Amino acid sequence: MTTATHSHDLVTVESGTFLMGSSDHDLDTITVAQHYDRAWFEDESPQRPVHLGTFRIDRTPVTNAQFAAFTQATGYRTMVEDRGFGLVYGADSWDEVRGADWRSPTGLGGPCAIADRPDHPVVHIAWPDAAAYARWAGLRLPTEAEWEYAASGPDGWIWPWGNTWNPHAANTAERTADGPITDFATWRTWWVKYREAVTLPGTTPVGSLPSSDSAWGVADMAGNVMEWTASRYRHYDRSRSYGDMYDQAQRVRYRVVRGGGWMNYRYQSRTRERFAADPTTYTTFAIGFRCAADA
Amino acid sequence: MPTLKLPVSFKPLTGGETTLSMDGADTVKAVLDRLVMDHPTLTQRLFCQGRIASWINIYVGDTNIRDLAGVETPLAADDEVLVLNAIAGG
Repeated sequence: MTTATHSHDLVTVESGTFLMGSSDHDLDTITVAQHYDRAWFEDESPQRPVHLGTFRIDRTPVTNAQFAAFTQATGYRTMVEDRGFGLVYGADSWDEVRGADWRSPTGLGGPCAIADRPDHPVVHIAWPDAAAYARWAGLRLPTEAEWEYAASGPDGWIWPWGNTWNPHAANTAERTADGPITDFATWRTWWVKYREAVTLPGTTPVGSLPSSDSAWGVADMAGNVMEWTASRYRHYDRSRSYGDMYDQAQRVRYRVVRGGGWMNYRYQSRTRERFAADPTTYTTFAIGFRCAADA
Repeated sequence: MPTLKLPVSFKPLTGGETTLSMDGADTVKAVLDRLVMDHPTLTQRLFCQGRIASWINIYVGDTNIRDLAGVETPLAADDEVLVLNAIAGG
């Protein structure tokens, strides 16, 4: 069932208990299939049951048009607008591009988000920007657990549509690649061709690939944009170390980002994949958000 | 001697090393200078337009050097300098 609130199409996710995180078998499978060590994904474990009450979540990420309504009503300026540059991936690496922000995602000369792409997900959004929007809309950001349950569905699928990867289902890098992307070298090959062939950023109109919908009917939970959640990054097992990188991300209060975006590939687009990001300074032209609400 | 800890994702650029001893380095700048001298390909990962890139956080203990004295932050012999991407994992 969906309900519209403040121009948001919210899907009701019924109360339930699900297995959050990845099993040892899942992690073993991922480890042999791509180039990172198992430790890279270890923070998805242990898998354990989590109970959630009924909640509602945006069917799609927040769009440029929705964010424009917010800024027009409030005069809000994003973190990126205030600092004057946004992160855009260039030929070889990330670059700090002056003037790149949610209105002009690749900077001067690129597309105008409001005029050219009103129905695309808003990008260059830092965590405080997402939280401010959600408050204005009378909503909130989804917790990490809510996000995972909305994406993996009652059967706990690896991708929103099931347990079998489909490169054409969602707006990830593999949708336009010549073959599987399982390491940085094949990603680079894709990127070199892709950035010449399309107008960046490579977002698509929200909800335009129904094949990526989750069992609950929530769209774009794999692909399109990576999404901020409300949750602080914390280890699933608080009693253990997950290595220097993840331990420090927990100590310095990073927030959880979920869902691989248009630049990511299959293993980064799993429903259980966790990213930890600095909420105060970090965002890119591939990061957006969606909202949620209590039932 | 100060110890430098690097993200796992830097392994391909450091010959697999993620923990480096920085004997005699008395500032964060000295640590970073030595790091990029030994591993020049890390420059693009760490710096943008001549300063620490916005996608990189560097901590002495649990404090971001942007809240200390930046790259001029002094180091004691037993300090640990940790480089953390502003997004980790994935």
